[in-house]
This record gives sequence, C-alpha cells and structure tokens, in this order.
Amino acid sequence: MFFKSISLTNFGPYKGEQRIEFPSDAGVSIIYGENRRGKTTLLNAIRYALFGKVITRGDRLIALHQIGNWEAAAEEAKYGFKVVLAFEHAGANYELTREHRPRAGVTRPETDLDYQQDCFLRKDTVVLGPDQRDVELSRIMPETVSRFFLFDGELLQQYEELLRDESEMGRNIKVAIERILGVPVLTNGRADLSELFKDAQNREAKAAQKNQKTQSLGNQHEALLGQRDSLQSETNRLKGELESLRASKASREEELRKSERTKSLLDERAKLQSVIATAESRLREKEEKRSELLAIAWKGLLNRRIRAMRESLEIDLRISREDYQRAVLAADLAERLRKALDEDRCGSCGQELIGQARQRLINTVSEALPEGELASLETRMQQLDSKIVSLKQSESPSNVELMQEVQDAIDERKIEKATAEDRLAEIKDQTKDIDETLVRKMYSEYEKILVDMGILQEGIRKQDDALREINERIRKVEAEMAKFDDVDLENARIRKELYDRLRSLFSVAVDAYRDRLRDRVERDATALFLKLTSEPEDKGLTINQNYGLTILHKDGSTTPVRSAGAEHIVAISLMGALQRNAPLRGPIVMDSPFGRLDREHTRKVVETLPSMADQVMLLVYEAELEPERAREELRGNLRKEYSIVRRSARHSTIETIS
Amino acid sequence: MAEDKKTIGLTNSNRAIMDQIVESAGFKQDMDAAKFAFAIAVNRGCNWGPVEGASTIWNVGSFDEGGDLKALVQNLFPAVETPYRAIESLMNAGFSLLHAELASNPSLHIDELIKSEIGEETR
Repeated sequence: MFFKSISLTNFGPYKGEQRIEFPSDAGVSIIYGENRRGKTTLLNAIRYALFGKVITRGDRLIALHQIGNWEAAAEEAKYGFKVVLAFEHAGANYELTREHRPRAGVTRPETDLDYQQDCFLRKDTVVLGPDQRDVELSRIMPETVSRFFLFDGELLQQYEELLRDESEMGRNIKVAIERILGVPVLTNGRADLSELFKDAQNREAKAAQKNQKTQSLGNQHEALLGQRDSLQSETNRLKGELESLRASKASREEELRKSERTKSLLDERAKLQSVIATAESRLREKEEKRSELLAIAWKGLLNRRIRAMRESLEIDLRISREDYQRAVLAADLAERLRKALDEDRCGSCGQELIGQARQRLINTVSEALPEGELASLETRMQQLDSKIVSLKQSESPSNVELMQEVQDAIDERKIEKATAEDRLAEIKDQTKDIDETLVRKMYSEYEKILVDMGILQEGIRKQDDALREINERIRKVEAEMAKFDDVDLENARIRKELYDRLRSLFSVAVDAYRDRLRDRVERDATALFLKLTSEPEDKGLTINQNYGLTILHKDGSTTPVRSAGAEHIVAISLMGALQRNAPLRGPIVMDSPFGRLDREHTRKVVETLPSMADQVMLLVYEAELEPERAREELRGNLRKEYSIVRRSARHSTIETIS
Repeated sequence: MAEDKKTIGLTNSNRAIMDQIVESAGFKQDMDAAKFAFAIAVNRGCNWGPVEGASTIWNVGSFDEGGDLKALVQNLFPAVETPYRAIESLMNAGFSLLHAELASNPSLHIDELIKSEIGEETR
C-alpha cells in the first residue's frame, strides 16, 4: 500500500476542501503543525477513510457528529465531512471515499444517528460493491494491524504491556503482532483441518452404520460425535464470552490506568478523613483528661503548704502526746501520795508519815496537775489528729508530669490533624470536578469482570475435561470399528487419519513458525535498537513469548525498569522489526513521535526512518523536530514538507513548503 | 463570730479574666479556674480581706460540695472565722495575679505556670 493523495472536506479544523499530494517516490514526508492545528486530526482522517472510525489519544472512539468543521456548521450551516484517500496496492490504483452527511430531512444534526455514511472504493476504473469493498480493504489494511502503521507516539508506552503476562492490552497487542506477521495463515489452516477431521469422523460413522456388523458401533459413534459437537459448541460459546470479557477487561484496564491517579487521590481522601476523625476523637479524649487534671490542679499548687502545715501539726501532736504521757504518770503518783496521806503511812516502806515528811508530801500533791488539765490535753490531741487527717486528705500530687504528657499528646494530635486537613484540602481541590461514584463504579465493574472471567474459565476447564473424556470414548469406539473388514469404513478411516496428521503437522508448524518469528523479530529489533540507543553499555534486546522486548546489558543482565525515552526507542525498534518481517506492507504515519526523546535519540530515529517503510509520514511540531535538522539528517530521503497553517481557532489549511 | 457567706463571686473585671482563662487554658468549669486562682493567691501568700463589688456566681454548697475547701482553709488559716469570705477574697486576688502574669507574658501556658508555681522540689 502506498498513499498517493488525501482530500479532506470539512474534517475537523480543515474547513472546505484540503488536498495533499504525496510524493510518488519512497522516503519521508513531514507535516509540521503546532499544537491544536490538526496533526492528530490528519492521522484520524486516514483512519476514518480506512475504518470509518476516529479515536482520541487515549484510544477512545469519538462521536462522529463532532468531527465536522465547526465554522462551516456555524457560518454556512454545512454539516458533515468527507475524506478521499487515493493509494496504490499490488499494481492497482484505488480511490477510497468515505463521507458522513446529514440524513434526509435533518437540517441540524445533533447525534451520529442524524447522519448517514457513504463509502465507495474504486479499483482502477471499477467501483466495487460493498462486500467486495470490505474484503479488499481488510486484505490491504486490516484494522487489527493498523496500530503498526498509523500510530500516536504518545501511546508507544503501551508496548511495555507485552512484558506483563496478565495484561489484556498486552494480549491484544500480541494478537495484532501475530496478525501482521502472518501467523493466522497457519492457525486458520489448523482450524480448517480440525473441521475437516470432524467431518471425516462423521463420514466414518455413516460408513459404519451402513454395515450390519458395525451398525451398532456406528450409531454409538454418531451419538458420541453429536455429544462432542454440543460440548464443543458450548465450549466455544463460553470462550466467546470469555473473549468478550477479555476485551472489556482490556478497555477497563486502560480506563483504570488513566484513572489510577484519581483513584489513589480518592482513596487518600477517604483515608485522610478517617485519620482526621481518629485524631479528633483522641484529641477529645486527651482534652477531657486534661480538663480533669486541671480541675484538681489547685490542690497540687497548695500541696507544699498543706504538707508543711500537716508536718507542723504532727510535731505538735507528738509533743502533746508526750505531755499527756507525763501528765498521766504524774496523776498516778499524786493519787498514790494522796492515799498515803489519808492512811498516814508510806505505801512503799510502811513507815508512819509525820512531821516534815508529811508536809513535803502535802506540798507535792498540791503541785500535781488538776484533773481537768488531762482532759484538755486529750481534746487538743483529738483536734490535732483530726486536722492532720483532714490535711492529709487535701494533699494531692501536682500531676505536672502527667499534664505534660497529656499536653504533648494533644499537641501531637493537633499537628497530625492539621497536616491531614491541609493535605485533604489539596486533594479536595484536585478532585472537586471528579465524579467519585463513576470512578468507584468503574473499579467495581472491573472487579466483577475478573470474577465473571474466573467463573467462565472454570466452566471452560470443566468443558475441556468433558471433551477429553468424550474424545477418549470416541477413540475407543473407532478402535472397535477398525477391527472390522469394510472398504468404505477403511476409506473413511484413512481420510480421517490423514486430516489428523495434517492437523498435527500444522500445530507443530504454528509453534515452529512462532519461534522463528520471535527470533527474527528479536534479531531485527536488536539491530534497530543498537542504531537508536545512545547508551554504549546496551547489548541488545531479548524477546519474551508475548513479543515483549527487554533491554540487555553488556554484562548479560536485563534492565527491569526503563525510562520513558528508552521505552520509546524499544517500541520503535519493535515497530521496525515487525515491518521487516510482515508479509503486509504499508505506509507508516507517526503522530508526535519524538516528544519523549532527546536530540541524540531523535536524530538516530530520524536517520533510521527511511529503512522502516517505503513511505513514512511524520506529523510533528517544530520544537520536536526542527526543519533544518530534519533536512540535514534525512538528506535525500526527505521527499516533501508541509505546514498546517492557522486561519482561525477552527480553521486550518495545509500548505506545501517549497 | 461573724456570719460566713452563703454565695460567693467575683468582681466584674475578675470575672472577665476568669472567662478568658477558662477559654485559653481549657478548664472544664469556671469554678475549677476559680479554685486555681484561689490556690495561686494562697501560694503567693496573699491576705484575705473584704471584696468590693463582687457579684454572686456560685452557691457555696455547689462550689465546695463536701466542704473540703472550707476545712482546708480552716486548717491552713486557723485565724479565719469566715472561710468562704476568705476564699472569695483569695480567688479574686488570684485572678488579679493571673491577669498581671498574663499581661506580662501573653504566651504563658498554664502548664508552665503550674510548674513555676510548684517548683522543682515538690513535683
């Protein structure tokens, strides 16, 4: 396939008719355009002509009624758009016209349903019918492999998914890679042979039914084949459902990848709200504790004074007790002396008390404490004791250390809360326009897909077990039938065995072809990569079962994580290797392919482009690839340069740079 | 013997100080702050005397529910004949002291005040 020209009418910013004549010689054409001028739209115009679709950079379909030129619609009430793509393929000239125009009776279309699409493919001088048109187009440029011809540089990182076994996007890319490399030729052959084998088995059953001796076995065989077909049909249905779920999973994964940041923000928001709630609850607890401590803080302040008073009273009490003891002893002595005086005889020695001795005793007794004094001492001691008890009750620790601990905990919680609140405010600002329900729903739908896939896989496993069992039973019946001598049966068996062997041969061939393709892709990608990389320690690339490529260091180890730039050149290397090994050839149209590359890598990629395909078209902005540098680096391989010129925000024109 | 008070209170200015301290220090009840002010005055050796212009705030029964405060005053100051008058006088004096303290050091935290009041040896 080789593009000759493209004509756009009211497609995106291209108001009126714009036409590009592509150079007829092999080489590189560059279309320069600043942001928002219509580079991606030009890529989409080609995609629209070939497949009737327009996609965003995120791989999502765009509603077609949004594609028409806004100025033409607003100023001239012209709705709809058209693309005419002329190309050459296998010696024939083609002109593909695809147009969207308002349906009859619709003056102001508002949805895709208000339009009708016309598509014509002229091959040389003959306009093909719709079926022939579709067959021809899918043969020349199948949509499944278009990603290797029409691509957005910003999406090259998708090829990293090939390194992840569980990735659905990786799986889809792998299918596309095998498609471009021609693997389906063999896998389709194998599938056809499986059908022929089954057909031969049915013939064998019919042949057996015709012979009286083998009739019963033939009937049994036929019944088993019927059961197997039902099982197979159910298995295929489940596999179809699984495929459809895989496709949904891949598209969800892409959406999730884009909303990963949003989800993490929403999760963080929920977590912060919980952190704040916990901090607030702990803060309340600690403040309550602090209030309790403050309520008795006054006692702590007076503690020193209370203790001093209590200690002083305890001294008084001790003295009073000593006084009291002495008083009790003195009272006892006085009592005994009084008794001696009453009896005029000493209670101890029994001598009579007379004269001076008696007078001395009378004096001593009169000096003894009056009885009321003892009672007064007792009262004082009781008072002191009671005061001491009361003071002891008023004594209280200052709790200053505990208060400090509580205060520290309060400060800590306040800081924790304030930090979380600050971050929460930031996140709230970042997520203010996000529909949280939608994001959560997306995640829960993804989870459901995983669960459903698990159920289907289990169902398929059981079906496969049942199929194995029934095939074994079929084999046994066939072995029984083989014991009978019957020409028709013998012929049917020979036919069946031939198809079986051929099917096995194709199976082996598919594996061998895949291995060989992987080796070739690895070899060619490595050769290209070594031209593109500026890292002298890179040794090459190594390929996995999914055609994922990993950088190999000269010491033999692999590089597990690579930069965006490295990812980019690995993807370009894979593209180049696929182009070289594909039976299908076509132009490469690259949109913003150098955005992630430094000057050196850009130079190397630019120099390599002419070897990747006969026709290469670059859609770039000047800062990404300066025209002077492009001319210098491409030299004779630069065929033509164009510029997308702004007429207004919604009107661009394409001009050839002379 | 002079009759003691049944209700006690603060002067308007001291009441404003109390409200401010309750708010800033985080006292749960205003009477907790009032007892704190009383303790500050006692600690700093203030004398009690008549209070001019005090408005009633608390009934002594609720202010000193078990009578512990009254007993303490009587124990600490045996010469006091009317403990609640003394308490009222001392807590008013205490709020004036706190006001002066806060005026000279607005960033003073109550924990620091307690620490400085009790001194290292009694912790």
